Amino acid sequence: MAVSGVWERDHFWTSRQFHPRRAGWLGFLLMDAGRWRGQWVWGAMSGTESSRARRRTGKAGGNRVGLCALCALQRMRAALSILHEALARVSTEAASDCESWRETVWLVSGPSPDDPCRKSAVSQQFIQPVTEVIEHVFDVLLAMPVEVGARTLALAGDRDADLVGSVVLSGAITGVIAICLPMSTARRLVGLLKGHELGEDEEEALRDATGELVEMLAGGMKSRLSPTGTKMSCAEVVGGGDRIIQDDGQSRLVLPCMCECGAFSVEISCRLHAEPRAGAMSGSGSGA
Amino acid sequence: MKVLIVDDSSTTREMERGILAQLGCSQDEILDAASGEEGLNKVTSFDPDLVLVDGKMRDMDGVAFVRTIRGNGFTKPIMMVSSECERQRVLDAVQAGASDFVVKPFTPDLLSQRIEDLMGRPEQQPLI
Repeated sequence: MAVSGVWERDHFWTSRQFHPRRAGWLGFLLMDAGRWRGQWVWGAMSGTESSRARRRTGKAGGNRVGLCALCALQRMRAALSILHEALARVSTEAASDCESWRETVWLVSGPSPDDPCRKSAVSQQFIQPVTEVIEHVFDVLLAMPVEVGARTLALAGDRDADLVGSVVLSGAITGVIAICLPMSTARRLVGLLKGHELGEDEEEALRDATGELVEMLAGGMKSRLSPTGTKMSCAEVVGGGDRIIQDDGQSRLVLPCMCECGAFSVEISCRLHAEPRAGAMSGSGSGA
Repeated sequence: MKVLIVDDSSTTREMERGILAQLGCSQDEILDAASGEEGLNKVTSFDPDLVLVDGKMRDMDGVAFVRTIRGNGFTKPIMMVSSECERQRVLDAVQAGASDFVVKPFTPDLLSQRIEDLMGRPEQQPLI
């Protein structure tokens, strides 16, 4: 239970319609569109709780334990309230004070032991190289340190980014890498890159720079993980609501990042193959 | 020194323009193209002393671009700037006719130094 005091344990009910796994995991990402306030709150109805509720009902096997929709809403409201308080606290702090941010905002140290991405050895392979690439790109391009937080597992629909740039990889690595930026962070980053503050009408510049950033991340990642046999597409940049993360059943990792310009995250939904896959995209690789 | 920048990213074009300006190029001496096709046309019309080309553009791969303009008889230095830096990628670029290869992200100092080195290099001296 990541957020203590939020989840009460006495409001379970039995229903044939609910599956414990579907109803048991509840997580949401709340990201301030202004400065870095990205944070995960994981609420989990653990196996122990499920078992306890099942014992309480006295029914075994046939009935599933679910979470009453009303109770779930109440708990979500309570969790949001806690998050809101945390955000209010943090809003008084300097954006560049990473250590302070880490201590006060990072409500969750990481996903639970049952986190599917913890079990995925393939996904784990990407975390360190991508972390190195993020730090390298920001160091070289902007001379700016980036703090990469503990990775989390993305849930469908969890998103509060205004700009999402993604690159599709094929061959020895298949999948998508994406950078998700709140507008405020994007404006500061691109302003630094261009050397002047961006005007309101420069959305195209934001999209372009976001695309360049994600291409550099993808290029760095594939050169570290797969020296040969991986091709990458050109970057696609869309509004956060239209994110185009491909999902063929593999876990999607989210690396929350913090820099002087604010918060952003890098998402990876990739798989590393021993041999390049047939049918890799043509026309975007070496061309030789 | 006339320089043609071929890159579909306005951000990169702007950065490279700034670096070239610091190297002493006037704005009249720098021309840019936002696509491979536009770049091919401007190579012919502008006749640059140096071409900076992106390794990956939407309409054309950088290696294909280099191969095309070399095939058309362009003999001046070409520097490929790419976010892909695998060994095979670099070899492909050089075999196609690129004179140098710079990996994105780059610092202004690095790109300046590489351009100075490239332009000071004897014409027939190969990169590798």
